[in-house]
Amino acid sequence: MKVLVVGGGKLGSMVIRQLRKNPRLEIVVADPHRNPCAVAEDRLCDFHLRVHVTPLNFKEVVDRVKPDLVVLARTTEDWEQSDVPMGAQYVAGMERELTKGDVPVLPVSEQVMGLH
Amino acid sequence: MQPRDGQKPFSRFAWLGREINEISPTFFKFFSKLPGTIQRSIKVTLPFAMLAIITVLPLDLDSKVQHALATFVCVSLLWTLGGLPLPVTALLVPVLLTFYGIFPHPADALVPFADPVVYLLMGGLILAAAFQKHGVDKRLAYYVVSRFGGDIPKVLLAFMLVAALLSMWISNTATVALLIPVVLGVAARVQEDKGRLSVLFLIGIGIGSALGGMATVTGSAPNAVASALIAQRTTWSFVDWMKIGLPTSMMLLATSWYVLQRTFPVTSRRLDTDPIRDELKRMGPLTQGEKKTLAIFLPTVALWIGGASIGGLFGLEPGFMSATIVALTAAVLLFLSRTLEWQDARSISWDIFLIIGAGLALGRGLQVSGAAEWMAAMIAGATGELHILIVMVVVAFVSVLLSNFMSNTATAAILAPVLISVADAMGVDLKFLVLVCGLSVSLSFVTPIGTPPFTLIFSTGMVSRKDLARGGLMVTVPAALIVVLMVFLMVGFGAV
Repeated sequence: MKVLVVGGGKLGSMVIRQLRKNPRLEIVVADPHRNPCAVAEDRLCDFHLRVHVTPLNFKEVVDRVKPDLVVLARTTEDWEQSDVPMGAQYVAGMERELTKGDVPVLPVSEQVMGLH
Repeated sequence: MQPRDGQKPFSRFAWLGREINEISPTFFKFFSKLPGTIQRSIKVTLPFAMLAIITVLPLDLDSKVQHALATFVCVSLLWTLGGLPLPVTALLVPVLLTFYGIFPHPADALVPFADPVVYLLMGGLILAAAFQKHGVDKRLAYYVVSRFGGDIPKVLLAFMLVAALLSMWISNTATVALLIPVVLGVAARVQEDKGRLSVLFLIGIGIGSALGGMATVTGSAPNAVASALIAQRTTWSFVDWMKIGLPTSMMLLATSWYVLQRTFPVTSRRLDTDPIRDELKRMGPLTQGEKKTLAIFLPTVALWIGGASIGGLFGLEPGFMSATIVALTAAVLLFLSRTLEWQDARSISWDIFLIIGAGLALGRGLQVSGAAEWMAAMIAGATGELHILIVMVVVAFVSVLLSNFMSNTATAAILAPVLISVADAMGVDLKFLVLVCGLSVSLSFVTPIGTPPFTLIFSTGMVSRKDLARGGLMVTVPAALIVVLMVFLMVGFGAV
């Protein structure tokens, strides 16, 4: 089973560590940074796709990776929007838009993962 | 798809330096190469050094004028350079004005922080929080866009119109934060041109929100500053602002819609808006929360516009029907009816009230001390016998330039008090200059650091700095001239 984790920051790394408990999962991380946490510190993922996933290119990314499941693991901090008024609402709106496609998408809450 | 123009959408602070580096003179290039800690020290030290220098300089001026000028320069530099957070600089204003004895009693320096316009804006922001909580804004956005069909120019107009309509009542940033995902979701439905189309739509909603914010006093904080300063000198109401703000905003919207289509041409002609219709269907009928929000919002708008006449019919106190009290009543009703919880109001940017209060206090300090009169005499002397229209054009472009690099509210707070005295020195109606300044500061869409909505748009990674600069400049120049013309005609003919 192939899982696309959108976001390779702190939250992304926590998600991947959970997914790694199942060694049969193939994990791809989509993150625009050259060396996101999940790659630089932990080398947790099998493949790093250097892309900024938005509603505009989501379908192309999914067509390219062909994941069985997409996990959204980006925080407001990952978006560098934590100090912009309404930044959190903007990020939530962008992530919500990604759940509208045909592929199963699971957004992960930073509160639940203990990042907040 | 990689972000366009090689930009890094997530390293906002990194490109902020580059942005200034690319468009500024050699000094700024040198400045941006200094280590961050030295830059920060200069940004804080320079304003206070100027404060000390102007205070002790042996000038042939009354000491109060000199001290007020020192305060003005220090606060302007702090707001421009961002050495301290804007609200912290705002707190410094009453401290300095009292320290120098410009206001002998602390209450005099703090009264402007409780100006009625501060509470009007507060009521407006609480109403906006109800809009967001119950999704009234989203429903309106989906409804308008679905009604305009799939023709791309019409969809652009719909997005710009929705952005303008929403930002008349809720914050420009909130409007843009809501519409960006919708815009990208719609643009993704096009096979060709989706990158260019998203640039067109994103810049469209950014500009639409800025223009819509001009229409009402509650639409944007600089409007509140300009409005309060005008109200200190003459009879000025919520409706008076709308008389000039609304037509100007709509005229600018039409102009920028036309200009944007020519600046960012796309080959596709039609767009699939079915997903928006589907989304609207999925939302179903109005929810209880939406109904309660609208039941409070619509009478509030009606009372803002016709409160004086309606109150007169029922024999109510005129003060009770003032826009501020109506806004506060609406806010209380939202909480009473459990449409909002106090928790929901925590997301409001409360710091804006401090900046408005500080701007008004600074303006009052400049006037009381005589510093505004002194600056006005200098400016009036330099402008000589220039026609008021030329002075208005200069004010418009200076306001636009400053607001592209610093907070719009701070720009209005710095410029407007001086402009009032300039108008007095020139012997013209102060509204000519204050309204041009108050409206022009909203035209800050050339740089991504101008306002938070454009920071959000830039962070999508779809819009390059070049796109923003091109689109922004093409719209800003005619827009500033239209603002000048509208104010000249409306004030000149006594319509406001």
